Amino acid sequence: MATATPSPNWTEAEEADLLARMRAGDDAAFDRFVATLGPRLWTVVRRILRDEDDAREALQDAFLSAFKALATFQSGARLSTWMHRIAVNAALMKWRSKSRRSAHETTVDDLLPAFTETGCHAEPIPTWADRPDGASIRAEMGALVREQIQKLPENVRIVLVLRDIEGLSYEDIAQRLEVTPNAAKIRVHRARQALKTLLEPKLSQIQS
Amino acid sequence: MSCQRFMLLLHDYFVGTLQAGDRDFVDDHAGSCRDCGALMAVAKEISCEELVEFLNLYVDGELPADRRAIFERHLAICAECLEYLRGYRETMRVAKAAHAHEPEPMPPDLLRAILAARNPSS
Ligand SMILES: [Zn+2]
Ligand SMILES: [Zn+2]
Repeated sequence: MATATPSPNWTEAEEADLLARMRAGDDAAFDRFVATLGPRLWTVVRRILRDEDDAREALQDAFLSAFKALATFQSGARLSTWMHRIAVNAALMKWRSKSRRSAHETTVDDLLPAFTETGCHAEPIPTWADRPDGASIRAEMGALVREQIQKLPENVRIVLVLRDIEGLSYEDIAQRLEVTPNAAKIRVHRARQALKTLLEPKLSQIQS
Repeated sequence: MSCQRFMLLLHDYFVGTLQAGDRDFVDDHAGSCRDCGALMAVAKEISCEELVEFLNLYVDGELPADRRAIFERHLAICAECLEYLRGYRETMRVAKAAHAHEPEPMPPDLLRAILAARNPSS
């Protein structure tokens, strides 16, 4: 699976130059750094945090902690990849401080498939018909899918975003959410199953 | 003729809704017909519930080869699990696709706020 790591079209030489100029305190270099990476990272923090004010604080925290850590940045890693990690961490820190206050362990049991005592499917499996492809259908579908993802409980929504949208590894997810990698895998599985169930009754709306 | 009847009854056999007589027929036929017996053996390797429970490992390519082969044999004979798999993969695909083009640009004042916060004195 491709990761969603932001990758501006900077060459390694351009990155090294930008880094050197920022370390020297060049304002124009900071402008360029924030203006180039900002929009991509804004997208990342907005996916993790539903609240816009939280996202603003998280992105600002991310850039400020990156500025402080510029001196210790190891050349060899890509500046944009490093910044992506910092932004995900800042957003998750904010997410954890918020979700701790709200109902945390909500389950999606009622959105999981049902089985008979003998382990067979208890209900017919909805068919995902091929729908015509086109820009307007894709846009409509995209809006519908994002809306349904928002309906997932936070602790389930977050792992779907981190794994299937941001492309983090299960190990990364486990570490950041303080669960075992196996628990992270199971939660991602439940999230996909629940989203599938939420999407199924909506799909027929789009097939016209 | 009896192979046909076997095929018709097989699904309900696993669901557990067959009458005793039909159930005996399915067992007897699986014991005497080589092809249907092989089908029955595959169907008994893994239940739909177990397959769906571990479907993420199959989709993410994390199953060992022998386990993967069991999943594939089941998917070859079970239309329901195959349909479930298809919907599961489509769900992953549309979730990713829905975020390929974000509608929301970064607020310009946020960019200015970040740059200003770097030098609070200036
Ligand atoms: Zn037969
Ligand atoms: Zn099955």
